[in-house]
Amino acid sequence: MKKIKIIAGKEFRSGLRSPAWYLAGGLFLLLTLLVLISGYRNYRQRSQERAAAVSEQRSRWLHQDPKHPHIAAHFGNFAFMPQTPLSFFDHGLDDFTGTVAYLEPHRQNEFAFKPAESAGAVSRFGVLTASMILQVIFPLIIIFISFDAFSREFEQQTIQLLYSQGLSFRQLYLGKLVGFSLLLAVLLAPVMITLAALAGTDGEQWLLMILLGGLYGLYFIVILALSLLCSAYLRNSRFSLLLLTALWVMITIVLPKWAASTGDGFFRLPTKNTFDAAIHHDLLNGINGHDPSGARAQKLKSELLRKYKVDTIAKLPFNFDGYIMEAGEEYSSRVYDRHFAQLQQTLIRQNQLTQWCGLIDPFIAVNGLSMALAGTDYYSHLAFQRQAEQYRRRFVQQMNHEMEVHSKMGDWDYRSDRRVFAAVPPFRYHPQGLMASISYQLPGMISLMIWLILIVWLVQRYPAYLNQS
Amino acid sequence: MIRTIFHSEYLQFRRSPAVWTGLLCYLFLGLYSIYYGRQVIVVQQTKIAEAADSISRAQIAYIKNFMADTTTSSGRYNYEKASVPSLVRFNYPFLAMNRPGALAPLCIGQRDLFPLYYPLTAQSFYVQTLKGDIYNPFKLKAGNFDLAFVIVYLMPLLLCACCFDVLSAELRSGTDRLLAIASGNLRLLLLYRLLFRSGLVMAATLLLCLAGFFIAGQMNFWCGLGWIVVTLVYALVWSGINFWVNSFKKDGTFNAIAVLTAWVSIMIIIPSAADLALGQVPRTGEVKLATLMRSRNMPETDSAMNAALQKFYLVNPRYRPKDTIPGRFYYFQGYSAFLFNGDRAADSLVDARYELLAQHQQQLARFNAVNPAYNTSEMLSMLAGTTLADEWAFKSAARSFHRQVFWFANRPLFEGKLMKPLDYLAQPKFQPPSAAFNLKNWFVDLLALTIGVVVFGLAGWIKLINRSFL
Repeated sequence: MKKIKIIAGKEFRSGLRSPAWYLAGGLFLLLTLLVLISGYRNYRQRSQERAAAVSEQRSRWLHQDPKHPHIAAHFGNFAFMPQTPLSFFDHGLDDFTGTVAYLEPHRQNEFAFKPAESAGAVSRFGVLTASMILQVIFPLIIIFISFDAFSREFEQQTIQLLYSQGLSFRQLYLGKLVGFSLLLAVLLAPVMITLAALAGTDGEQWLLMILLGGLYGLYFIVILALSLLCSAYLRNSRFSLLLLTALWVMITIVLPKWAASTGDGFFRLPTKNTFDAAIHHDLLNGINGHDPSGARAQKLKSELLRKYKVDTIAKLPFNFDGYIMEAGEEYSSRVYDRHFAQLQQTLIRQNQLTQWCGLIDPFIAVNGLSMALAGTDYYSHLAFQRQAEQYRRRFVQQMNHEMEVHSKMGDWDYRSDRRVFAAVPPFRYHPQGLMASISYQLPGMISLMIWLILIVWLVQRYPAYLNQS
Repeated sequence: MIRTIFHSEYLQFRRSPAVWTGLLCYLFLGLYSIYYGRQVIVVQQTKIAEAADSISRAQIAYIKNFMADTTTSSGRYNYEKASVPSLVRFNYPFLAMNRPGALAPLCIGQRDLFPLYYPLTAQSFYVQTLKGDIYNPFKLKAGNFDLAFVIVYLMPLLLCACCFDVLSAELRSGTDRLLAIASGNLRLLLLYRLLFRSGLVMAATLLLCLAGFFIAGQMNFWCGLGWIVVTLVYALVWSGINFWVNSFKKDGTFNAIAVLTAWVSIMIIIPSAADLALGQVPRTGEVKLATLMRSRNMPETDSAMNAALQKFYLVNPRYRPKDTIPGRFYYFQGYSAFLFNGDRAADSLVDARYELLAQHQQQLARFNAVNPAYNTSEMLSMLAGTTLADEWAFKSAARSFHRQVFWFANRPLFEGKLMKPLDYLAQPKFQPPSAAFNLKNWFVDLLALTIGVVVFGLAGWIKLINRSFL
């Protein structure tokens, strides 16, 4: 243990004496802190814009002129995608998911106004966020400061001196790992403190911060451990640097793009038009294809006449039009559920290839987990979409029910007043729980474990003949 | 001297499995990118063709309704469906299509972010076009593995891998002194060796471009030439960066770190820094636009109808009726006038939003004028017709087309006439927008790229003022 401490101390001190560490570290800190602060400023601005939009639309809903409840339902509501407190750290998919959906009767709309639509080519180069710096640029800094940790000892022939002190490779490796980890911790500490200060202090945030810290810590340890192993196995600084940078390019640039493109090629998405046409077809002909809408209405009518023992729908104790709309909305919900489930299945399949590539690519693993913890991943968006859809159905049914109970059949002049509109609660999004968020990222969690096990195994199996300079 | 150096480089190249492997991997990824781009565009073309086919079938069915047997109730209903303008206006469909250009498979650009087509009727344009489409946000974020990606991102990496240690390898192996004795002129030696190695990468890239052109099919000769020129000048910028880094006569590790830092700065930090420095476009405009998605409901009262029509007649005085007795289509005219007025009011809101975004884009482009990767990406997108400006041009063309679509059934409606088969023969056809390609901007970007070559080349040349190795 003492020997490991000595080695670690030596590496730490040498690092602190290196101008390259100060240069790379200084630039990293400057860039990350700048990005964190400006990201937070943007987050605040966006949150205020969103809050203003929500309140404006709510006010429009409440203060609309008295009108027929079904027409009021057609006036519609909006669901604005909220910004999670940690979205300033990791934008995730926020720029590509759309920010607002129009909620109206008879149809489920997609989210519109993706921020990337107005960003042009810059958005395709990647938006600089603190998470991007940590996931992409920081590993490169790790490689730059550690690629020659062992090879330098071989090139300067100091390795034999070290071994002659009774050190084993494992002790040397562990000592260097601890030393470099301390150097990295010095760089990361201000970032984590700033992040914690900006993210807020309630219990949930602290837990998320701890998990994020643990996740990134593990990721950096994997990168550092790999870099040290490369240096030890290759024993040549130049080769080690070349191999590590080639690996870095593969895991951060090539593989994620390839996996996403290939997933997209395997499972094709329909266009909105064909998707809507399929829904329209099912609404007209029934989900099973043999239950046309006219026949459904007729069947419903006969059942009601029988149940209330009347001979015409005008004698029913409620507005049949409203009842039929409620029933229609219920049926359309079933049709929508079926088609949207298929669509989401296709989307999930497209993304699964990338998720499984996370088994061999720690960047993909960390990227997915980080987005999940920040609440900006695809599944968080899906949870929001589902809640918005539930809300749409509830408020439309509420309006249809109002029509059914309070208006007479064929009376389209009936007007609901503002009390009825105020009875529709505003839409509130309840973010999915932490466990639900990370449960989708199983391959990512397994990946980091696999890498750690692999590294330990490679350290254990380090061949003795490589110890010779 | 040049022949000797090229010959020696050629021998080294033949004996270097690492370079061979790198080049082969690069060629493989390049070919995959061409295949991928082609697949994406074929799927887009198929989707457009399917939509065009379905719209065309619906249109033909309408025209056939004129031949319906009007002695039966269903025949009369069908006949009225095609001849009564108030029924035609919201049911007779049109299609505005954004067809891909010939080079789109090589540079998908912004095409995957926007709808491929808009089915349109005389309903409000914004109700029909603002609602979102189906996308996979995860895929959009990852971007496209097209040839433009290989050229902009991977080619520089291969160039750096081949060229970063042109001098340092000699210093490391101690052969620098031998070379100094043999050649003497370090500048020329470095230049020729870089030329040979860059030439290899450029030749491989050229091969990929030609394969891409072949797969893309019919294309404009000048666009192809422009693509090759941009690619070669971009490769020269990276050769210049390597020349400059080598001119410091440092060891291989220093050079590798320097060129990688340059790559990360150019690919990631500078484009994002521009976004950070300029701030983001306020989204308040989007909230206002969102309300345009709302279904257009107007009170069915005489006063509301009259108010909408009076406003409409101010802009379209020729449709103002001569007498005050409400005509056959009075209420339908009122709603059409309401839609017309609504879209006119919305136009200014949308234009203001796009004006703001265009200004933001210009600022970003100015900020990135020094960034060779951004410039190259933009120039390739311009040639492929897949820039943001192209997408906006399509939206604008769709809006102009919608105006014609609006008048297709509303003209007879306001004239109080029924529609005839001849009206259908003269129906509007979507005119694709003229390419948003701006030759001046393209040349300015190319000039900026060329200046990059000169600056880095000169910097290296001057740095090697001491022409000897040591």
